[in-house]
Amino acid sequence: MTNAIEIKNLTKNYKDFSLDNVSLTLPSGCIMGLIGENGAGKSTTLKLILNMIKRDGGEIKIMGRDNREAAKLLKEDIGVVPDEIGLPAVLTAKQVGNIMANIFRNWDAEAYAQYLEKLSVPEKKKYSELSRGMKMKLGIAIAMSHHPKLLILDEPTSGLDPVIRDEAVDMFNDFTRDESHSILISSHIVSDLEKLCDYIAFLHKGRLMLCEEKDRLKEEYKIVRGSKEVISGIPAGSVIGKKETPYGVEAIVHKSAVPSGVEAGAVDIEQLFVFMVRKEG
Amino acid sequence: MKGLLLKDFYVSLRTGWLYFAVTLVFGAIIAFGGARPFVFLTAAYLMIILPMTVLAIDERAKWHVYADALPVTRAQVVAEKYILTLLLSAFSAAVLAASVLIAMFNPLLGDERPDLSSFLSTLSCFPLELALTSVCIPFVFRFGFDKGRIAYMFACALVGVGLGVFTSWNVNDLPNINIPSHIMLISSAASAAVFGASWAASTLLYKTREF
Repeated sequence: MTNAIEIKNLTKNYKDFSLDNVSLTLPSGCIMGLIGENGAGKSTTLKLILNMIKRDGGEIKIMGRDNREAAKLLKEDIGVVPDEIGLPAVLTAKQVGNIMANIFRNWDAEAYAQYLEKLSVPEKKKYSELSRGMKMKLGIAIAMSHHPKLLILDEPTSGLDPVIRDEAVDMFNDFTRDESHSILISSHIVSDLEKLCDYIAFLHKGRLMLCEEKDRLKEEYKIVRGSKEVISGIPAGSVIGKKETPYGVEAIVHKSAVPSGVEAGAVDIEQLFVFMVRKEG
Repeated sequence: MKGLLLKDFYVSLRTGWLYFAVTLVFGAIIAFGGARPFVFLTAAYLMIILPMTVLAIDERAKWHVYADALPVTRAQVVAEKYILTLLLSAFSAAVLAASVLIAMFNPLLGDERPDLSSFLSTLSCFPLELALTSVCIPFVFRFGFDKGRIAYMFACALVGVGLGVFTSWNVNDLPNINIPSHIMLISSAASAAVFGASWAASTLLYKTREF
């Protein structure tokens, strides 16, 4: 089966920022989480994938096709939730449904109504009267109501309360039950990504630090706590990052480098990201 | 395209209902109270403002960024705005032409009834509206509404000058306004050319814009 997204050596230069040779592949049927601090290049990457901005180098394929060829046709199969849903303030969710029915070929009005109901988005309230969370939920309903094969989500769970966030995560999980469906999601809320994603990509200052299967990452790296002496005994090349605390030193290391007799715990994705970024500086 | 037009139809109705209402009221004033140049030009001017208002609303909402993620091309986004301008100008031209037509046969107006050439002069307002809006739109598509409105102000100033010249003719009613037919034809052709060139320029400029 073709990959949902294939990016090779993607480059984009701005005056004060560059996205530098980013390569990643999202296989069909999978969810990839894009993690990075503010300004790391997450939104730039998503915009380049959607051909909203022009790349300076590299290539992007969506479902096997260059993203610049037949872009309109490709977007019929992509559902997008940007960090800010750009709907005019005076529109209601019902009107938005009518508009989208005339934009997407596969628009499913029934599915849209069901999503609005499930996410408790009022149909007749003006967009300006909705809370940030409600706006995001409306964006999710729009993105999923034309039966897309690929969802591209830019911080979709920010502004949502924990209960709705959990529901949204479940909805995204349901979406990928179909093995032709894939999701690329960027978020600051790493715990959501950890629940949801099969693949994790770390972006830092425009560079891809890592792109790996989540389970493999968790398998491969361990967190070790001990005295300075114990940690300094680990080969430097195997230490992903370390942090000194009043009680000793915490370090994330390759599983193979964990000294015998030292207790190694499971690492979570957020810890791994924070430690790697600190090491990179 | 239909979806984009529907969106602007909703936005225009919600935000510009007063413009539509005032145009209709001014139409009624012309039909039953006699045509006054100020009323006439103001009604025409309102429909120049509305497409710009819609563009400003789009920009504030970041609709142009969202539209980029939808299956519509940038050329379609531009085309829709020109079609909207065309439709709104056609609406005001139709209301004003109908008003003058009613006034032509309104016995209450006596000697102030406009004649056929006045009616035709009324229609020449339509391409003028298009041309004025056309001057502004490419700037908005290239630089955004904030910078683009400088062009908009320039167009407004043109309308103001036009209004001044018009009223300096010292006419208070349309029966005296008879624009020679060849001037009407030339101005209509020029307006159409400006409209077309503006559309092409906007498409070109918008395709290269990055958000």
